[in-house]
Amino acid sequence: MIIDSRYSRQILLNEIGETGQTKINKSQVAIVGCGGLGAIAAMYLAGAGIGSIILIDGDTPDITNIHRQVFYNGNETHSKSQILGQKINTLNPEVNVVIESNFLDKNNIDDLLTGVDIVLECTDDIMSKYLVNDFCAIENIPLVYGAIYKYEGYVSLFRNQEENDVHLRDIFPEPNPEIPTCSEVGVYNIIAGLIGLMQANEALKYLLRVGEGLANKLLTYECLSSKQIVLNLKKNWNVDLEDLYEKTLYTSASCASAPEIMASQLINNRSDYLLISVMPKGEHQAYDEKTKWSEISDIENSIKSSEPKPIVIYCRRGRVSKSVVSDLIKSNARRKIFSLEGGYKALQKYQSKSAD
Amino acid sequence: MKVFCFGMAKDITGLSTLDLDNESVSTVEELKNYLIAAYPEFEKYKSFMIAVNQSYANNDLVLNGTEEIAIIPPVSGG
Repeated sequence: MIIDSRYSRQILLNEIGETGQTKINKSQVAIVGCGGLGAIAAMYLAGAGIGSIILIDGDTPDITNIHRQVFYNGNETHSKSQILGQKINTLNPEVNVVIESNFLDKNNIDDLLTGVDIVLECTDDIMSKYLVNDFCAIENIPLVYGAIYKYEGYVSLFRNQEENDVHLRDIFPEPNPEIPTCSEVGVYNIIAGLIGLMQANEALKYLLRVGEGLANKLLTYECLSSKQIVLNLKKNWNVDLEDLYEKTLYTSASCASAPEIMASQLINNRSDYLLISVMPKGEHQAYDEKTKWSEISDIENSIKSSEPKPIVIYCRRGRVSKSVVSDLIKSNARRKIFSLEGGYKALQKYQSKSAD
Repeated sequence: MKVFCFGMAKDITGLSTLDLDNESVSTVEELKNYLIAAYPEFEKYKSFMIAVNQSYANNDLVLNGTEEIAIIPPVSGG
């Protein structure tokens, strides 16, 4: 009977067998972030027959994602988690897929991650990485960490079962908002696929309790040299994590608090607002002739020298501008400053809608 | 003393391997301070990790210059 089953070729492996397959089928995995790392990890875990997969991502695919996020086409209007959920249903209908189309934050993390067997942290957002890390460490939920930069990537397994199990804060104690993202420095598509699959590998081995996991180790891989190094880590961060978790908001580009304005509101009342783009210089697209451009580091000066109208700041998708505005309003309490919700993409969408 | 650069460290120094003068650096902490002085941009990424002989190294670890040293900066892409 095994011979013809969907999982027969992995059941043939000594380390898996029917017992292992049953373990896989009964497992529940959460994937935070369905981009370059998360999407490929989710598809392979679904292929292996994970019982239930929770997909969490509030982002929609963008054409600049597709070279490394090969399960999307960039024209979709649904969230990555929804589209990926459909792909998984087609690939393996035996998998129960749970879709969350909001970004993970401190309000929904409890509902989404409590009770899962293992979490894969696959976002490109530094604060999300610390939010997931801290929550999983407190709740003793095993976590597979992955992160990439240009041609390189890191993978580790934070078991969170014993007191001496290393987690992210033992490697990098504090989140550093200065770390550039893929959209700023570029990324080689292969590294995303490799690291995503290495994360899936760590998860499967952990669920099966086979092989040697990357617990208390950090694997680094570099594509240009094909070099892999496994570093030994040790527990050295001993701050009261529960206390820190209570006090930390974990807000960043994706969830900073800033007043926002809709594209429709701006376009229909264009002359009431001063419009400034903070898109990277090479990618900057002006909405109209009166659109100004500013380097993020120079935005304070750009605002000081501007006419006293309410200001709307935009980036490509509304995440960077939100964090810029959230900083600006602290030092410019008397100015009305908004972030354009959905960024330049929303402007384009609204325009093409009104043209129809 | 040879120091391998990963990720952003490669961009900051412009090199994949640094060759340092041993005399100014005898502990991991001194190495970190040396790097920040030589390449001020490291100041922004203070949380970078130093690995010695493929293991995480605390600040007080003594270096004799023959070890395999690597700068492992934080990374957030996904």
